[in-house]
Amino acid sequence: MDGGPDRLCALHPSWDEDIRFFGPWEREGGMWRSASDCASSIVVVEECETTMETARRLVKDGLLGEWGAVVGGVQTGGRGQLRRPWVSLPGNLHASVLLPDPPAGGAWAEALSALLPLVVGYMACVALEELGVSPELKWPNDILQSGRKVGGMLIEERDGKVILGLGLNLAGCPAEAEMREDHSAPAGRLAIPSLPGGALTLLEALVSRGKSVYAIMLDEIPPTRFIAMIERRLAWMGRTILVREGNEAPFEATVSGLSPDGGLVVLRGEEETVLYSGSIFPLGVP
Amino acid sequence: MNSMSKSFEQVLEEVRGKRILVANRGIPARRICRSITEMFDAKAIMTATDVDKTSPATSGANELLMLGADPRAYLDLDLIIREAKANDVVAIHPGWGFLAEDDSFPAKCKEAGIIFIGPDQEPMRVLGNKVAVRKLAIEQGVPVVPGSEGAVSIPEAREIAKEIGFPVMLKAEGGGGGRGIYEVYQEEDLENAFSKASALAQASFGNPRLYVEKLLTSVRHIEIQVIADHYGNVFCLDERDCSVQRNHQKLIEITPSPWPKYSKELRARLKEYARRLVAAVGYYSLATVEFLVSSDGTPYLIEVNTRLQVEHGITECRYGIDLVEEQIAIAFGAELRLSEEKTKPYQWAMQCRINCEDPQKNFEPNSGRITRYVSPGGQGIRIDSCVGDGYRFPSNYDSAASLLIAYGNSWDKVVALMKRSLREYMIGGLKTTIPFHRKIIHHTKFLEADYDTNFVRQHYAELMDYSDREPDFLRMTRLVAEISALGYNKHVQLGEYRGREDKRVGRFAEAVLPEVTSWFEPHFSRKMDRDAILDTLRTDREAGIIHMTDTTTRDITQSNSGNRFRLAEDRIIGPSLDKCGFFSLENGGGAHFHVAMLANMTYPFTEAEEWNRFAPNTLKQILIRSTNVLGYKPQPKNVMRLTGEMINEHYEIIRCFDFLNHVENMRPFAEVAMNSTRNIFEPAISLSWAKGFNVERYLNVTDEIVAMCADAGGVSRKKAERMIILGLKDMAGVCPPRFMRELITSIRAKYPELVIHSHRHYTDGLFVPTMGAAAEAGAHIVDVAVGASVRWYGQGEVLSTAAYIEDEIGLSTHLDKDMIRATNFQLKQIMPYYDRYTAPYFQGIDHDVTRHGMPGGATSSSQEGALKQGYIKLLPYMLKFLEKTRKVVRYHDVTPGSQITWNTAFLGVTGAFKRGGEREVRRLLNILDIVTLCSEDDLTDLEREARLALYRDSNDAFRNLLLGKFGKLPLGFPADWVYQSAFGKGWKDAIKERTEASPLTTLADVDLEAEKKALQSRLHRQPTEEEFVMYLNHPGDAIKTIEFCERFGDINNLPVDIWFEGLEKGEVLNFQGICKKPHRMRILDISEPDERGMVVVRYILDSEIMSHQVKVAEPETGTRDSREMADPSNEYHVGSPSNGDLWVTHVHPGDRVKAGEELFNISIMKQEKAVLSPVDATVRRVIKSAKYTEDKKMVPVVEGELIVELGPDAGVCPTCKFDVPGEGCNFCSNCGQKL
Repeated sequence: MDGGPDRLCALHPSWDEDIRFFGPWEREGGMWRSASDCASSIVVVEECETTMETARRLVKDGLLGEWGAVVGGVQTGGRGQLRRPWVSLPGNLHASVLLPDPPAGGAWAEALSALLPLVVGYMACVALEELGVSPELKWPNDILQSGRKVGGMLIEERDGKVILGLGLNLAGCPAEAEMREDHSAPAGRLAIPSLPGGALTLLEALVSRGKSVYAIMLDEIPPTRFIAMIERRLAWMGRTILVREGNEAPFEATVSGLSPDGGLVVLRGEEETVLYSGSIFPLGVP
Repeated sequence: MNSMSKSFEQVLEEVRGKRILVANRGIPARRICRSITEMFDAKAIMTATDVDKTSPATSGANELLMLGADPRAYLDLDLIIREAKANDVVAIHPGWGFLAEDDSFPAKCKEAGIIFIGPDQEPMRVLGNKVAVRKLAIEQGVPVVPGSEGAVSIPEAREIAKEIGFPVMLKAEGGGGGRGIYEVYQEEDLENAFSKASALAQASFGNPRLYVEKLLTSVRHIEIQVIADHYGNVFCLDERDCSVQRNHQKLIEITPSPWPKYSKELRARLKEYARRLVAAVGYYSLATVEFLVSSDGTPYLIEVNTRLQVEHGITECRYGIDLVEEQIAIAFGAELRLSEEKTKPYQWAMQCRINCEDPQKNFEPNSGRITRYVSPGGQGIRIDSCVGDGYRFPSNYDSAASLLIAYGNSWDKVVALMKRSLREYMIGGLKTTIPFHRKIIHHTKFLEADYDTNFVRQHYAELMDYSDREPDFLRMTRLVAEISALGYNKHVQLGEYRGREDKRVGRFAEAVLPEVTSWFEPHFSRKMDRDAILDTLRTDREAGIIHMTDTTTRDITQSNSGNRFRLAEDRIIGPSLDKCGFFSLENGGGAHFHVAMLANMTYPFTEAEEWNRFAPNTLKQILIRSTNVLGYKPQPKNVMRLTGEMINEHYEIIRCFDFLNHVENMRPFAEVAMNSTRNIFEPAISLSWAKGFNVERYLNVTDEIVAMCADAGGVSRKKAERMIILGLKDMAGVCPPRFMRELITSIRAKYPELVIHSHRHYTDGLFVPTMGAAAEAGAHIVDVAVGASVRWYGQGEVLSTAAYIEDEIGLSTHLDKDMIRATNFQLKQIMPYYDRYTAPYFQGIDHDVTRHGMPGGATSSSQEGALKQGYIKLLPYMLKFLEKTRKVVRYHDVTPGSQITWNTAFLGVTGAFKRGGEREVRRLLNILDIVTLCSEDDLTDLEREARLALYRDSNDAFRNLLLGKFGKLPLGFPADWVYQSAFGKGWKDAIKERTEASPLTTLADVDLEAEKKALQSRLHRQPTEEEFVMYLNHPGDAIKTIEFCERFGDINNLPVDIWFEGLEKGEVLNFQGICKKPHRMRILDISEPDERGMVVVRYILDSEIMSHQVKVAEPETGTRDSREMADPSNEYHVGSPSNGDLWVTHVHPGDRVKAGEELFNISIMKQEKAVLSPVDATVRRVIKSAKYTEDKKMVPVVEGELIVELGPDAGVCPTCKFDVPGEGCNFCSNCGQKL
């Protein structure tokens, strides 16, 4: 069929509207590229292992430019960080976006590499806020809504090219039993009050908004102020959490903010510790 | 009095003992609590989150109202009101910041039955909203900045901009405090700027709406403080001038405005405008009406702040009132006490906002422990602060640390007070804006009050040019604490040469100089010019007088211990040496320059300058290495010139040598020195004693030198002969007496007017007779040193050499020998420290030097290097290699040639040993023997093949030497096979590439401006000329030294025992700081190391107890000490790109990888970084590995840590074509073929 990625519509009803809206579609290998007039290119693949690899290949072949996105209908091997599996339900958003090269000069030239996970988290928050959602950010960039994890992000850098992986539970979320045993927040479905379409519409909103937020941030907002801005959206501030870091014994601490290089500052007794890796789990009731 | 109103006294009575809450933290909370308790005798309660519960600001409160762990709780209005109600609070003051401008605050207070110390909701909403207040202003006839009425769309913006003219500002409706402002200078940019500004506003304030305003390009920020009561009484106080701003954030506030154009009329106008606005909405409490005033004195309203302001204190000082007290009284219904009749201004006042920010790093906020806090005080100073000694300044809140106010009866007085108090103010442990304020307050434009709001931006570079340093004596005690805790001084680069408990040489007392009475008249002084000096040398030599140069503080201590004296010791010995009658003192150059930075942490030219102060009479001599100047590789001409000029300023005699005797390499220096009447150029011939390096050859070099100097000076050769000194430099100490006699006799015969200065080392043990022979043959000057410093690898001793020359040869000398003896005694008091801690392993005559030719200090240091690397057994082979290779590639045994020869021998021998053990080494030396003994024709094909192993392991320096990159080889290029051996496949290209031209002709000039910028950005300030020259010669070590001096000050104020051994517990160190003030330090305690390997040194400095943490050991857990770092210059070293967790490695040792293949992956904050192989290679080692997906284990790594070491592909087996795993394999792992 040459009309577009129509097979997707069979996956989930939310695709119908999107396919029409972002058409016409041009066939490109086994994929479809939207020829509509949107902010950056969108490539749709009906089925793939993971959009991360598909995007990586397109980038390598010069077929995906900055902010170009690959959206997958079905992922057979969706992944989160550290190759953890990501459950890809039909109708959810699974996408990979090529981020621009870091700026060569200015305050962000040095800071961006460390802060990038927070920057993309912030971008997503701002975009969602405009759609009427009040998301919280679990450090560094899990998206929480009402205390449930509704989305996650992953950044993979290779050969100087940085690809952002996005997973948002738009249509459904994995059941409790499907979750990894040591997950830190229960999974939830992202409720968006005013989304006129499905996964593609959401992606387009995220990318076009993200793009301008990103540009402005790098031009206008010094990294130190950015830290303050993102702190406002940080989940679990002041709450007691359990920190599991590397192979060490877990310890209890209180979330107290962010360090200038984006680490999570926690109070362990009287002592301030900065986390750059590891997992945090909320303890007790807020 | 209004019937409803109360008097102030009534309010006092009413409030007494009541509970008043300050819903704030830090400076405002403390400030307000003070007023609550002072006059009202009320209970001051302060909100506090967990972070703040013990902060210094809380001392102002009687009670704390705890808000819990969330640092943002100060914004939780409902929580605060709930808690206030539960705690019987009668009134709440919001302070400034946080909820102070939230107009639901007064409403919610009212609802809860609590008095809000501030305005009512409605007037607050009108005055606090920029759009509403603008509308009101227009109604009231108050001028506003021309612009749009409310938020606009792009087309509307374009329309309005046209109307009011560019430039315009786009301002965020939700912005404030100078944030969210976008400037547009031309119509073309409007569209783009609008969308950016809108997005920015959305991102920052959650509101994308923008309005347009005319951008006033030169304005002052002037504001009027207003106070009004419930009964319509309004009083306006004099203006505050807040024009010193950065990005619209106020830095300094002044009242009254010092601006010469500010008039009484303008003041009255602004007050009238302010009164109108406040009265129009029935506002009560404090408010500030802010105006911009253009350079012609036209005011424009910008906004009204409906709260107490940060800069209220200067107004209080101007009038002698307490605004907070008035504000509280008004909130409780008191009638306003201030009036035109009763309230008169009589003071000037200025406030500097002291923030924990680093101005030099773009005002980055600083948090951390305040290690020292000394607050200014005295007449005319007020401080409102929220910090103190030992306070850990949190990162969660704004960076305001204190408000420093100076007040007095004139502008000049206030400025003087502020200058003084900023000088007194010390905040240690983190960076503050204090030094930046010091720069502002000294700026002429500031003092003249001639500036606008662009002041900081326009003078940014000037204002940033400072070093933020604590007093030098304090910084230095931290170094003493560090040395004391470690037991050794890590900065002298001698490893852990002693432990804390080890026996000491003992305390160093002022080195005593015995009294000497003498009528000695020196023949030379620094006041003489070149011709007078050279003539004296010639007449004296005619009369049989031989002069001597002393090298005690340079070459001899350098050669014998590698660590010549610090300036501190030079200061002791220098004044004595100055009186001994030496022709000159060699006190600089060679490695001395580098070591000054590398180990002595001293600026070399500053040192030279001081030498000329404490030893003002004797000529100073420096040694420079032709094109290398003071470094180890050829320098471009502009760097040579720049360095040369600085050298000429401090030294009279410039001795210059080239290890290839390529005379052209000395030309830039000849040009500088020959054209000065003060400096004497001393070109030196590098001497070896070997076949081909004979008298005839050195006479040729002399001819070239005289010719080059004549050319450089634009004089005849005959004239040049009379203008220079010829140096003879036998650095190895190998030329025997008979050779020197023959050489000098020949030179004197050919150049009878040429002054000859003979220099050699002691290494072969024949120093005295050789110098005797040199003197006898006609040398004018010989190099010597003072007895107590003489060892084997430097110069010989002065009095014995003099005795030999006088007694044995029958010539005379001109020295104050008693003064030399006295100096020697003084030296004896210093040498034990250097002998104990810096002496090399090998100490003794080494006559083998005539074979191996390793010069001076290199004799011991290179052999010691071999020993320390575990190759002592190979040392005889290395020496053998040295002896033979000098017959293959011919040049002189002086720096840097000697280093190149040594490295070639070391690499050749150890390389062979790694390939095939001692047998292989013997084979290598055997073939070296054969090639040096046999002629080319006698060699077999096998031998020709075998000799290619000789230089296969040589390094780049050796290859560059072969290419002629250092200059022309004295006896021509070596045979082709040497190139074949050193360059392998590319040897023919190497031969094509080689040159005999001086490197000066091809080395491109350095871009000095760019280099200076690089250094400046590194230092965050303008470097001095000296720092720049240091940097050009040795960039890394220059930065290290500059940073060290910023950190610890001038270490030459420390006695030598402390420098090497530190201070013992209980012992007292008396020392002087840079400004000569005496100080006293005593260590109270050095703790045991904690689990992080840190000890705390507690000590008394003068009368303050200080503590300093020193890392003495590696942390107990973790394996940091085994952490290996990747060498960034080695492409086979693949390190971690950042700190993070290694979670997967894809390769194993022996794997072959292609360029671009993923080796491992690092995860940090969910960011995964793939690290790829930079080249096609074989994996040699995998230092750390992980497989998270299997074992759920990650390995923490740090930036730059070596993870995978690659090696060149070893190739394939010649028989079975199987890949050979690595270079270490002797046999093919597939078919067993010997490789």
